[in-house]
Amino acid sequence: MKRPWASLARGPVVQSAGLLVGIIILGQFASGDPYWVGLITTGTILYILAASLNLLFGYAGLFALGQQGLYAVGAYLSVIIGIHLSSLPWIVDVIGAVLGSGLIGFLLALPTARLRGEYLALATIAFGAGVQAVLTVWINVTGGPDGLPDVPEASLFGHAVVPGSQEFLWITAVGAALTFLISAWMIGSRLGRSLRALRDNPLASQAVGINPVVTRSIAFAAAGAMAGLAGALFAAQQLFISPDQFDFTLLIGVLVAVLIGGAGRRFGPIIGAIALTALQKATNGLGSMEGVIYASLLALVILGLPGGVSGAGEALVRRLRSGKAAGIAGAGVAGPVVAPDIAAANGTVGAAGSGIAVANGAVVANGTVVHDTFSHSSPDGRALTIDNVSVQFGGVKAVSDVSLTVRRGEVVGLIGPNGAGKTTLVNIATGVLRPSRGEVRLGDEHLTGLSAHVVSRRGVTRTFQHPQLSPALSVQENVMLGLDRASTATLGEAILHLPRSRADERRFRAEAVSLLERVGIAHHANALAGSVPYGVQRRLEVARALACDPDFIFLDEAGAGLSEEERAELIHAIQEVASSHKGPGIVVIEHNISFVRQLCARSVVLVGGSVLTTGETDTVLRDERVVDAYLGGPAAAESDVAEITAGPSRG
Amino acid sequence: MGTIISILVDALAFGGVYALLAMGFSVILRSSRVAQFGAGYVALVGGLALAHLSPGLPEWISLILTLVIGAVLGIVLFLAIAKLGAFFGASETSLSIAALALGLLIGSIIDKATSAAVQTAPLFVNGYVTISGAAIEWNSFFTIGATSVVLIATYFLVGRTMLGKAMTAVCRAPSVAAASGLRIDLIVCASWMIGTALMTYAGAVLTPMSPISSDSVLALALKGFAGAIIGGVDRPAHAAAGALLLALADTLFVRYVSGGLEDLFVFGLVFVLLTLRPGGLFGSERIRYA
Repeated sequence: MKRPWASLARGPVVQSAGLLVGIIILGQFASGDPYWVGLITTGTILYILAASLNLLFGYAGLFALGQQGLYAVGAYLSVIIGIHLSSLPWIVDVIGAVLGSGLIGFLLALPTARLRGEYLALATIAFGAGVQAVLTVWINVTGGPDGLPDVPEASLFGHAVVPGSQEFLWITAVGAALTFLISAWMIGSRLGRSLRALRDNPLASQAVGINPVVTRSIAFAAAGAMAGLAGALFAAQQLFISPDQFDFTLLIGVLVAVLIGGAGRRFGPIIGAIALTALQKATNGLGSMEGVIYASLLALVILGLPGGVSGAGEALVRRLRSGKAAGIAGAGVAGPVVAPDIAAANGTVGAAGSGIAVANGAVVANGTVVHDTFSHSSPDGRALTIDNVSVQFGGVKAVSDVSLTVRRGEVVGLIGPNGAGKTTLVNIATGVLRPSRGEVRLGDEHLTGLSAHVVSRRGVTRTFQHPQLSPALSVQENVMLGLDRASTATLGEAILHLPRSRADERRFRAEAVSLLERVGIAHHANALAGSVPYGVQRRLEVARALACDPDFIFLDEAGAGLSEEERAELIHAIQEVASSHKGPGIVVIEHNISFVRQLCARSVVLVGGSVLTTGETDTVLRDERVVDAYLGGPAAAESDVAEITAGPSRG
Repeated sequence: MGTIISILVDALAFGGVYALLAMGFSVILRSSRVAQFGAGYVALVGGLALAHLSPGLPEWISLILTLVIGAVLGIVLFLAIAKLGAFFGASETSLSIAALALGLLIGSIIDKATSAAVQTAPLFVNGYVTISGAAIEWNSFFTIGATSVVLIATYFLVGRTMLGKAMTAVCRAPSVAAASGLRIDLIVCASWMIGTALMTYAGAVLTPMSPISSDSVLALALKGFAGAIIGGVDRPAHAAAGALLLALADTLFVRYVSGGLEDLFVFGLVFVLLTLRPGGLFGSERIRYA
C-alpha cells in the first residue's frame, strides 16, 4: 500500500501493455505477408468491438444488441470528417468518431434506461436497424447503399499508414490496449461496482442510492466510444464502407466472440476475438459448410459453456485450488468462494489481496483509520413523517390512511400479522411505491414521488425482507456500494484511478470492514456475497444500509433466520447505532416479539393495512386486539397462531 | 375506396404473417422467458416445407403439415434450448442467444441442403377480383383466411383452455404452479410446440406471396418481434394485434409517404413506442425498474 506505483504495475496497466506487445509480436511473425498482418488487424479491431459489447452485455448485464450501429456511426463519422475536413490530421477523424459515437451511445441510453431484458434487446435491435436505414437513405452524406468508396488513408505525423502494414497494426494495437485499460479501470472503479450491482439487483442498488439512469448512460457512452474507435479503425483498414457491412450478422459475430471468451470477464473478449478470427479463417475454404460449423459451434458454446472459455478456466483453477486447500487443511468446511476479479481489482486500487487483511487488521487492532460513520452533519431533529398514506393494488387496499412519525435516534417497532401491509409501508417510505394518497416527508422536505435512489440519497434507506444483495460482488464490495456516495473523487478520477479516488477506495475498504465488524461478519469480507450463509447475508444487508450513513433506516425482518446468538449481536449493533452521536431513526419490522421488546421502546401495530394501535411496546403487546390479531381472533387466520409462537422467517 | 380496400387487404395479409410470428414469440417468451430470436429461420423451415409439399398436395393439407412439422421442431428446440441450456446453467439471456444460434444453424443447413437460393411456391389461389377499380388477388383473401383461422384457434387454445390457463400459471408463478401439481416441463414444451408451429406456419403462408430465404428472414422476424412488443409481449393476443397494427401503419406509410424510408419508419416507431409504453399499447401493467 505504500508503493502505489508497484501496485499499479500489477494491475491493468501491465496487462494492457502485455496485450500491446503481444499483438505487435504476433504481427512480427506474420511480417512480410500483408494478408496475415491484415487478419491480425481484423482480429484486433474485433477485440475492441467485443470489449465494448462486453462492457454492456457482460458487466452491466444489459441485453443490448445495437453495438453494430454505434460501430457504423464511428466508421462513417471518421470518414465524413476526413472527407470534409481533409486538412486535419487523421487522428482528429478518429477522435471525432470516438466522441461522436460516445454521444450517440449516451443518447441511446437515455430513453431506454428503464427497459430491461428482451425489451432493451428489441429497442437496441431497432436502433441498429435504424442506423442502417439512415445510412442507406441519407445519400448526400453517406453515399446511400453504395457507401463511401474514397475513405481517406490513415496517417500519423504526416506519414501515410497503409492498411495491412505493420504500422497500421501497431496503431490498432494501441487502440486495443487503451480499450483494455479503460474497461478494466472502469470495472475496477465504483462505476463498475454500481454497474454490476444494477445488473444483479436493481432494487437493492437503488436502495443504496445508485442512479440507474446515469450509471447505465455512462456505460452506454463508454461502450459507444469504444465501438466508435473500432469503427474508425475498420474504415481506415477497409478503405471502403457501405451500410451492409454493419448489419445484424456482424453483431451476432461480436456476440459470439463475447460469449465464447466469457461475458463479464476481462480477458473474455481477447479470447473470443482470437477464437472467432481463427474460426473464420479455418472455415473460410469450406464454402457453404462454413455457416453450419460456425452456427453449431456457437450453439454448443452458449449452451455448454455458460461462462465461456475463461469461465471454464476459472472453474478449473477454482477446482484445482480447492483441491489443494483441502489437502492442506484436511477435511473441513469448504472455504467461501472468492470473487475472481477482486484480487485483480484490488491490485489496481492499491489494496492487494493481502492488503485487505492488513486493512482489516489495522481497523481491528488500532481502531484509528476509521472515521465515525454515524456522526452525521445534517441538522438534527428532522423527523421522518409518513402522513396518511394509502395504496391499493387493483381493488385491494394494501395500506389505508397510515401515519407514522419517527425521530432521529429512536428505534420503533412495526409489527402485525402477515399481509398487514408492513413491507408495503416500507416500500412507500423508501420511494419504491408511490402512495395513491398521503405523503412522506423528511423534516419539511417532501419525499413522495421521488425515485428510490433519490430517497436513499436524502437519507432514508432500508433492508429487504428477503436479502437483496449483489451476489457477484464480495461482501466487502456490497458494503462499499453504500459508501461510494461519499466519494470525494469525481467519476472521471475514479475511472482513471487518480490519487484522490485511490484514497477513497482505501478509506472505503477500511470503513466497510469496520461496518462488517459492527454486525459481526468481518471474517466473511472477501467472500462472494452470493456464497455466504443466510444469516451472514441478512447482517450484510444491515451493514450495507448503515454504510449509506442514513438518517432513517427500515429494517425489514433483519433478525429473521438468525441464531439466538447472532440475533443478540445484531440487537447490540442496532442499539449502538441508534444511540451513537446523532444516530439515525430506525424502524424495525419483526415477527420475533422478544426482538422487538428488547429494541423498541415504541411500537406501531398494523393490521389489515391500517394502524390498529400504537404506543409503548409492552403496553401494545398486552393489548387484547393485538393478541387477537396475532393469535387468531375472529378475523385472523389459523396459521398466524404458529407464527407468533415460533417467530417465523417470513411475513 | 378501391385503394383503401387494397391497402387493408395488403395490411391484413402481411400483418397476419407478422401476427403469427408475434404470437409465437409471445407464447414461448411468457412460458420459458426465452426470446426466440431465431423465429425467422423457423419460418424459413415452414416456407421450405410448403415449397416441397404444395406441388403434390391440396393447399390445406400442406398447411396443416407445416403446423405439424413446426410442432415437432418445437419439441427439438425445447429440448435443445430450454432443457439442455438449463442443465448447463445458462442464463435466460444466453438461452435467447442460443435460440438465435440454433436458428442460424437451421438457416445454414437449409442453405447447404437446398440448391435454390430462395424458397418459392405457387399461389394458393390464382386470379383476382376487381373491387371499385382495384385489382385484388384471391390469394390475399386466402392468406387472410388461413392466418385468421390459426390465430383465432391459438387465441382460444392459449386463452380459454385448461392448457392455456396452465401456461399462464407457469408464466406468472412457476413455483406455485409446480406446487399445484402442474407438470411444468410438459407445459413449457407445449408452448414451444405451439409457438414454433405458429412460426413455421407464418413462413408457409408467406412463401407464395413473397419468396423467403435465409437472407430475408431476419427482417421478417424483426417485424414480428416489433409487433409483439408494440402490442405487449405478455399476452399473445395483444402481441398479434400489435403486429396487425404495425403492418397497417407500415402499408400506409409505404403507400403515402415513402417506400425508401420504410425500414426507418418501422424501427423508429418501435423505438419510440418502446420508450413511451414499455408495457405495450394494450398492456396495463406498469413495468417498474425492478
